[in-house]
Amino acid sequence: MNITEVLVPAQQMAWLPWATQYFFFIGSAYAAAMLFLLTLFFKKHTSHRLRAALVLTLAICAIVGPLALTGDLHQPGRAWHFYAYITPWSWMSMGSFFLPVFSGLSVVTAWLYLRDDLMSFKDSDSKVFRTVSKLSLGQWKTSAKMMLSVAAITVISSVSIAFYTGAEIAAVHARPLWDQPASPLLWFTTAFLGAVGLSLIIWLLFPQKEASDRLSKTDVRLIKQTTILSSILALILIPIWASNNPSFSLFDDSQWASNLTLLAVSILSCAVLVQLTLRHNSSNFVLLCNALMLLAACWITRWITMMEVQTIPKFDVGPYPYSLPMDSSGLLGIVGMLGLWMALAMLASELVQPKRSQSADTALTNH
Amino acid sequence: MDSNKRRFLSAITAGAALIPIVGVNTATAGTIIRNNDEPDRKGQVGKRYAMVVDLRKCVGCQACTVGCSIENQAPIGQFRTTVKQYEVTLNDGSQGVKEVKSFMLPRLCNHCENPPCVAVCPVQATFQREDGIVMVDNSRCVACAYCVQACPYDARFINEETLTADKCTFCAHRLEKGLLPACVETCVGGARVIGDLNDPSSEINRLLKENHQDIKVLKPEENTKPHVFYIGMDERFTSHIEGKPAIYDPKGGEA
Repeated sequence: MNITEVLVPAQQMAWLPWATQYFFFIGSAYAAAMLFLLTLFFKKHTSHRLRAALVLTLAICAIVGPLALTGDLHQPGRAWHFYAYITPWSWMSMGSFFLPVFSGLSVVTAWLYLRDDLMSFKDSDSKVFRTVSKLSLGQWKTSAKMMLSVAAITVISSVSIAFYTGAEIAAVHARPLWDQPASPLLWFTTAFLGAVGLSLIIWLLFPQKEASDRLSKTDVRLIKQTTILSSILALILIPIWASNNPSFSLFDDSQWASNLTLLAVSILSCAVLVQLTLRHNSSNFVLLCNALMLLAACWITRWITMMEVQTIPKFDVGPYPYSLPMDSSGLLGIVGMLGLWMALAMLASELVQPKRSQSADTALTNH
Repeated sequence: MDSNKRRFLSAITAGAALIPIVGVNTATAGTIIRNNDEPDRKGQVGKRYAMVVDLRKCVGCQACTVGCSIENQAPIGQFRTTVKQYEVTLNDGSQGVKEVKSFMLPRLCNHCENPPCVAVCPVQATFQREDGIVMVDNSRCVACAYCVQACPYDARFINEETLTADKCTFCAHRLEKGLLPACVETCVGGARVIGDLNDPSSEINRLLKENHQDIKVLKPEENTKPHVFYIGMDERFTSHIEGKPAIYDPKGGEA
């Protein structure tokens, strides 16, 4: 029997590009939380600037991500309904409790870590910096023990975010490409690419670097190993993920074959680029190229696995057509969120001044 | 990987680990969530509404689509019910002129007994009444579209005008007044029959009994227990259509 669809209305995309932005930022946040704790453990070998970049990535993404999420609600003004009608059996409802805790802890972690930098502005010539300095809320020292404890609690909270964001989508039984263990694992592994990429951007935004402000050898090793491990795991997961579509083989579909190629090539490029070009004395241009590649790979993964999957019909032949609108439900939303992140990153990066980095390092080690 | 294996793998990885965190309800599929504890969410207690669509009588005139759109004022281009149309030829190897036939498939919310859309709603805006009708409280809906994703039948959509989740309600407001749903009322061939499954003498029970060997539901493997029953359905249309796709507007814009 040959069947040709004659009159079949297309189903509209229900989760908008806002969702990609949310999962991109919140993934980068939870991965940054984990990497930050790791760098704290090895604080003798890692640089203050990399730790500061990670902790700022954590805090900024934990603020921008939830904003993108409310953008994905078609009724953002009703976000308070999540707290008025608590629904413990829905992952999304659980997430509405995990998320503010995580965002709060992320900001507290960043604040605790950067208090030394804040206090260093006490005698600054600039009135703005002197005012900002008051955010340290007193001249007391952050003890290393307190820092580690808070960072560890934030990591526990970040696990709840990694878990709920994965489970939330994997619970959608109607979409087999989501309803499988490979999808949350793929988002988890590629989240680290986003965290490293955004941290490198913040690192590059830090003012006036001198020779002593370069990445340490351990920093480079951490970035390299994280990127290569994440990329290899993601490359293993992609074919497993893609083979779980029962209605048609993604590998035999020309559109999907190119999607999967783009996905695999972008992730592979991260590993290759980092391995070949990243050195502790790499130029800013090389670092920027690495950062952009990592961000592109992380973002493309989310776009293909979340947005493109929605063009696969649950019942009809398809695919349903989708083109990115230019308004706030499309490109403007994506660019706007990246712009907000960039603006916050540019402001926050001013907190880490070059000459203070050494003293901040010793301050933490001595307590 | 077959679907059983996939289900098993997702159950052990996603399901088992969650029990201590969020309680048994999320993890076990056995508990059916209906979100209907409030007294105004009960509907017509004692009844169980369902629909039979006799495909032998459907001519694809779309009178139901128009009737529903006028009754429920869904935005232009968005439908609570519609009739999907397919062209079918038999490839029996003959070289002669092929006989082309049309197949009509009226689609609407299945008002499943195990509705996956209800369980995922994070604010309990969508619920299932005691009479089986799945409803959306659109003053509570945050329009996260989680239910749209969860419905295996693409029966839900985000209404462009109200900006909330929208779907067929079996015209519950009409049923309560003793009227038939708009699609049933307008169906020229009498293909759509709604009725109470709990009433042994109802027309729907008679049809289901008379045609019990020819009754099909959409996607029975999803275990959603749909309550829109089709008479005269070919099994190649029950789960996932394999064929040539429709020609969509290349820009995917509004209809």
